Amino acid sequence: MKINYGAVLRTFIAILGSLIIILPLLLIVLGSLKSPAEAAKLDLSLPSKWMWSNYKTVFVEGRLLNGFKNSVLVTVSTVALTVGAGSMCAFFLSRRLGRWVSYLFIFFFAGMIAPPSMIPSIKLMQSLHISGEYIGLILFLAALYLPLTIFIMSGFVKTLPRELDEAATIDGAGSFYTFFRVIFPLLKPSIATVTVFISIYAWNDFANTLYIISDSSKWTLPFSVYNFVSQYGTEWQFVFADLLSVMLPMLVVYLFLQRYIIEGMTAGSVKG
Amino acid sequence: MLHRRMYPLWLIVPALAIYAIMYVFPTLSGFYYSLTDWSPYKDTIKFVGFDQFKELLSTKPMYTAMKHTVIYAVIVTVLQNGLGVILALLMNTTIGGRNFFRSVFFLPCILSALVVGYMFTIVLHPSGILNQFLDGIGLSSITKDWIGDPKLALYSITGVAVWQWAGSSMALYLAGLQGISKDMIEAAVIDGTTYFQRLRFVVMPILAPVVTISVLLSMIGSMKTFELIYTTTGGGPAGATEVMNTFIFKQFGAGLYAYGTAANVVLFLSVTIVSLLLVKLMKRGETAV
Repeated sequence: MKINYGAVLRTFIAILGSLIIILPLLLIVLGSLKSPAEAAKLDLSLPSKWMWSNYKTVFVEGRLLNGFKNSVLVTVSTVALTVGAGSMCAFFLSRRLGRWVSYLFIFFFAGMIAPPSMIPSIKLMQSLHISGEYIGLILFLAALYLPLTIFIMSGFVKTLPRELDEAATIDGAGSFYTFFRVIFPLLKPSIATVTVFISIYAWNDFANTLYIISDSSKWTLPFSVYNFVSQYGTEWQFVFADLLSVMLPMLVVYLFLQRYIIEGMTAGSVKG
Repeated sequence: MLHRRMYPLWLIVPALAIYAIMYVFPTLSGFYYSLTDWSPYKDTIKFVGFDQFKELLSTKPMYTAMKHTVIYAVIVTVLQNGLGVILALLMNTTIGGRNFFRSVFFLPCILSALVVGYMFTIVLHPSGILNQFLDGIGLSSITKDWIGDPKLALYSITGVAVWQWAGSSMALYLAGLQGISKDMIEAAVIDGTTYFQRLRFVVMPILAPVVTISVLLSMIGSMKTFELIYTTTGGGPAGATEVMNTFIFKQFGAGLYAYGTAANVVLFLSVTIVSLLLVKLMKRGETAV
């Protein structure tokens, strides 16, 4: 029997690579269940006593439920707003003819490259009285993710035949009905793609939230870690438990939807 | 007439309003504010021309932040894409548990940069698992204080960024590789080419557009980096890892609004220019291969 040395070597390299990814995560998992003295060693040993109570402390002290609730609120609203406004805009931009329409497309496209101007944004939100409010954060994140959304979705709209719109119009449907009842349902695959990456970006956002939200009761889940580390910096078992609790929702979603997430994020960036 | 009735203007109103008000307006007003003495401690905003820029360009902090941003972005872009291609080529061969490995390599991309930052402050801690591992294999001589040493910190953090994002480049390149038809590869094999010849003359020309996108994405992304630096070093030790976005955040915290906004304008222009140059350069590269 012939052994394929190449395949063995490749598998070995892949295993080595995976270890580099997995070990830091394993460190967090094990560390979160250790006693203070053991956790302070920062090593990969198994805990001598499994301290599940660390999680209880973190849940109460880190106000994780509050953070979770806020994160869900911000993420869901951002996705809904971006997909809603973005799909309408994408439909218009890839259907309507005219030179100004293509300029408008470039105008949106520019938003994918240039970094936002944070300090003037805060000033604007203050004068609109939405600074420090969820609505300010959600609108800001939506503005940030709209360009990529429009880019991906207009690529998809182009694959739908124009005859659909014409048929609907001839049958007496208004533009509102044509878009929401005929076109929107057909956009499902691109809606899935866009939802995947906006959810991940919005859920993980820290920088923008740091600028915009100052009230600690409104902080999203990543802020729990930020707050916790500055408060309990050296009580490693709690830091570990908090890090894992913050990662967990994402990891669970990834476990079940990994194929769609990888495809969604890849499509998102290939077309971006 | 029917055309306008089918695609009426109200369709773009919500997106245009959000984008114009929350993104475009602050950017444009930022250009104006960068020419003033705006600060939260003053009642009026006075126009001062290019004073803020003069100050920015005549003192060292911004140059240092810009230098670090460029070093960071170039290293991350090169390593992330290099590793991405290698992993994608590896995943594109017959290998057991391919889907498992692909999922594992991609996993860090879904984590918050904040969480990754804190995780690696622990891993790279002087008594953390990296040094424990080096001790274990008898390399105690190269154990370092990875993020506490000003000479090393920036490079250590590029390593963390590569850890997080190599999987995303891999996924991109893998999608590109899977678009290459088997017939082409087989034809090249029959023609008696070696593996590296096939890589150079069959795979590379097809993969070139993907390289452009992937390089562009990692370049833009790493020039805007903030969370990873903020959580691991906060720009320290002694400013050794200060990048543009942490620099801007510090000016914001210190109430130097106009100064910070001017720095933001510099970042804005740099990112735009780098992207345009890169697109041009890569397009030329695409036709050359």
